[in-house]
Amino acid sequence: MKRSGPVRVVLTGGGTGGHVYPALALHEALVEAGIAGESLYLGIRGRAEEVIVPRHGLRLGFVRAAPVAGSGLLGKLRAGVTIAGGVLQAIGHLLRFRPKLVVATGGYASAPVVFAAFLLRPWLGLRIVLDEQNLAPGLLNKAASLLADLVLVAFRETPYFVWSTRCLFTGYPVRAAYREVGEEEPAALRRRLGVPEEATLVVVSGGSLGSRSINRALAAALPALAEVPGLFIVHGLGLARGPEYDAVADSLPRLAAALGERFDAASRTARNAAGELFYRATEYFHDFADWQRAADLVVGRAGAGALAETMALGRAMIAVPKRGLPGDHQELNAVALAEEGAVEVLFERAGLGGEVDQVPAEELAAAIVALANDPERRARLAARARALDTPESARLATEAIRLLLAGREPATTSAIVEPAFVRFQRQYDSLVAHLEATPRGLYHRLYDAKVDEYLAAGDEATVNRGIKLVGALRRADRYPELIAGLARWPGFLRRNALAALAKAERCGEGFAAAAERGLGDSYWEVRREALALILRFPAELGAVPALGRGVERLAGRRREGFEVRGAALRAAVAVLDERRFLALAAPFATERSVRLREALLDAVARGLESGRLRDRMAVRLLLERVVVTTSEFSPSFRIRERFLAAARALEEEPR
Amino acid sequence: MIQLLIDALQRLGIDFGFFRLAESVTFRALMALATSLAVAVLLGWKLVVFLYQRRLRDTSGEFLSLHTHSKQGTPTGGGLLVLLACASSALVWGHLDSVQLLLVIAGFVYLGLVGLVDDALKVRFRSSLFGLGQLTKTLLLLAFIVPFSWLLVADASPVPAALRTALFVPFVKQPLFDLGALGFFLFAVFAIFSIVNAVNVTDGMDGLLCGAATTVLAVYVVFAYVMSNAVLSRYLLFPYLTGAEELVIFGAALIGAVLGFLWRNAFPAEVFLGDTGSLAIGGAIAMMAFLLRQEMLFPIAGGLFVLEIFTSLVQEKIGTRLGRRLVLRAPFHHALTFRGIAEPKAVVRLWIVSLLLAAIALLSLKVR
Repeated sequence: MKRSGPVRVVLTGGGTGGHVYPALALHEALVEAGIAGESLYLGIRGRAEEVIVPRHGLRLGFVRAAPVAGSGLLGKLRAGVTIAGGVLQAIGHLLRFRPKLVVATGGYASAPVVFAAFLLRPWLGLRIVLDEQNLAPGLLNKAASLLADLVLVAFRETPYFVWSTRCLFTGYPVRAAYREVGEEEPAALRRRLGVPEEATLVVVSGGSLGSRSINRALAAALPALAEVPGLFIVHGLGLARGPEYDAVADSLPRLAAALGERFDAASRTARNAAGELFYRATEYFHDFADWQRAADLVVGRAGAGALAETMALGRAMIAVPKRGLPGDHQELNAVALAEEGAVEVLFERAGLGGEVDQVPAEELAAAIVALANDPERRARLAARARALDTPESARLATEAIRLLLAGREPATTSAIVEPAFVRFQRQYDSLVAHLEATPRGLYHRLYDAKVDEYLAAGDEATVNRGIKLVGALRRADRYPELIAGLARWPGFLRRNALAALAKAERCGEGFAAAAERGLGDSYWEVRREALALILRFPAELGAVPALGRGVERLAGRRREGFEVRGAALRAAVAVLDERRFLALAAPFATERSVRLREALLDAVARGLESGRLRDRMAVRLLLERVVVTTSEFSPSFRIRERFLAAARALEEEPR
Repeated sequence: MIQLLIDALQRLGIDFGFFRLAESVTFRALMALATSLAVAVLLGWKLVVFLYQRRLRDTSGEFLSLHTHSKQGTPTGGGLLVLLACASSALVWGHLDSVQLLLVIAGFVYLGLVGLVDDALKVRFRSSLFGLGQLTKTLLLLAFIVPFSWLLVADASPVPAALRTALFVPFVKQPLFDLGALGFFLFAVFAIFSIVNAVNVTDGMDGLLCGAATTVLAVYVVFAYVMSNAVLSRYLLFPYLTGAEELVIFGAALIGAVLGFLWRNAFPAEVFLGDTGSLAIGGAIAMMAFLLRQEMLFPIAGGLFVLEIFTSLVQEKIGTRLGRRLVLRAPFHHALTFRGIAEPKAVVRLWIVSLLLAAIALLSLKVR
């Protein structure tokens, strides 16, 4: 059965503009496709939707809603009560309006509406479509996805996070303004906007409310940028007027302080070193799409919308993801695109000790200058961005919804591969191993920015993450903190701190003291790591007499566990002289624990390779005494070998 | 079900001599064991294929991420086979009018399904983090354990009124003390929950749980046999429990199913039990222990399970708070492989331990 003619549609989603605009964009597309007729928008009173929606000529209704994440148990209960109330209100709206289609774009406003729609689904015969723009949806959206008939996603990795198996990749529904091919010549566009034709136009904006960290970093970077000829910077300060942050009131004194008399407070413009106009600040862009279109370089947040606009226009972009958001979604959004080479990323640093989050101004200046001076790199970024754009997204979405309304199942996907960054979040140690093994790249920069935040955290689990990061990133500037921590941290942290030191490129100051402290530690895993540290730097640490004695003592101590004794014997070959090592090693040849015999063989091999064991006769006699009987073995599944051979052959291109 | 069939035939006047054989507990128990063993062995490979194609595999892999030496990608949720084989065999050979039998089968199947949901979620979301949350899982388990414990002390309990709230201790003839209805109820909830979890954590090596569960079940089958037999129970000074013979049938069917599963689960495993199997088996052991009023025998017969949960709890509750390891590795069986004892050898050694413990538990039949 095919329904024809427009149907009544309920739109919902809100809290921030980031959820409202996609709903409006989708609505536009549905109207154009002749699917949506009379429509009603359900949002939260006092939020972005109250301003934006009426401007687009849509009827607006209100429900109550509250976020669940974050707050304590009491807050969660209160949120639950509010949501339940919201569900009742939404049921009222739906019964009166009797829609055939409910489109939700996330944000906590949409949760009660989706739940209400699901309850009424059998009676009203309506269909529920969820549009998830972010890479990793929040908890409410994940739950709501189970109730939806169709989930439209903007990232290919998103189906992995969504609980529903009915996902359709459409890309982000940007507003139509970004899809229209500009009739205006670029030169004419620039004239209209009042930008010098030859200048390199940089458009900086932290979204409609503005971003404190971008605004402050740019203000601080301007003196450096003023030295670069041919740069023209347009800066959207933002509409934020709250007690927390007032974009204009906070920025103007900073601009004046940074630029001195070159800054003209009345016109909010500034002149560069050559005396030309190079900077203009504005509170809000009413024609932001035109500015983005005219820009050579865009600096902005990494919300799904901002990124999609950049891709639709094919611009070079420096993304500054906001940190600390649910699921780190902006950072993940940006990393996903940066891995494709479509944007440059600058990561925010967490503000410590009551400070606010910040972006280092010198990094921002360097990134802008580097891209401004390199048109080829800008072109590469822009081309990659455009290649990732999904101009078909509106058509894909409307086609699927049309099928759904006709009572058929659109083709959806649930085939999912775990994205690498998810594995990293899930198994922290696999992230650490990745950071350690790969040359410096995006992830190193992202986590470099988190080291201080983690180390300063109040809970031990987070400090532990910081310790592991210091090790994997080889942050020599943080080693003193690890060494100091040995005196007060619990066992796991002491162990990991020593393990982090052992990854250092060279033996730093205080390592000997740390190793000595570790050898006398009450926890065996710390002693083990101290021995590993000595083995890592035998030349420097082996020369310390106290450490040599400590190694010998631990290797010979009968009541010590096999982990420590084994580590001690491995270290012994590197720090003790040959005669003492052989005497120490002899009883290991017949030890009951296979791990101790393994340690002996490791030590002998290392000693022979490094030339510290020269008495080949003595070593031969020692080896002959080693009992190599054990139960441990590693199986090999032959069918898997064959499977892999076949699979690899399949992956290769046929000749 | 066989019983119903024979009754119907006899009512029609058809009678054979071997019908009387089918009424003896020993014969039914052996047949139940043989039936479930046969079902499990015959359906085993089909289930492996089924689970594999449903992608119920132990942590996913991309196409090329298989390792020739690891067991990653082995199908999990094989407890489904145990559920199927044991429940069908027990229903065929048991008396369907027995409260004990139906109660135990219901609990067994329910706990297995809870485990199956958990396994499926873990697989669907590719991570143990996305399985049932600790809280949800606990609540789902309690949803059965609480009514069951309440039933133990209620008037409708299949246990005779005099024994309902008494605590029997192995090697002591008389019940040690009376806990009272509320006390016994709370004790039962705690103990059953602990037993289920203990069995759950023990499931971590190929064949380990199957072997250890078999010995514990065998002990309880013997006790059930003694208590259901008027002569033997009087001779060994145990209370006579009517209806306990159906627990013999169930226990025998479960032993058969577990052994049939071990057929494929022995090192190197072709299929894992998953929570499906470990929760169901744990629940079955706990229910048998309580219905026989031999719950205090579990720390002896199931000493291995107690050790496993103990090491795991010590590390989880105390060790993480102190910020260090207190045991080499937890649960205990991981410590063995960490020390360099190969998995098959570690499993056989733990089987030997559980055999010894079962022997000690059986000793308490006579030595009291």
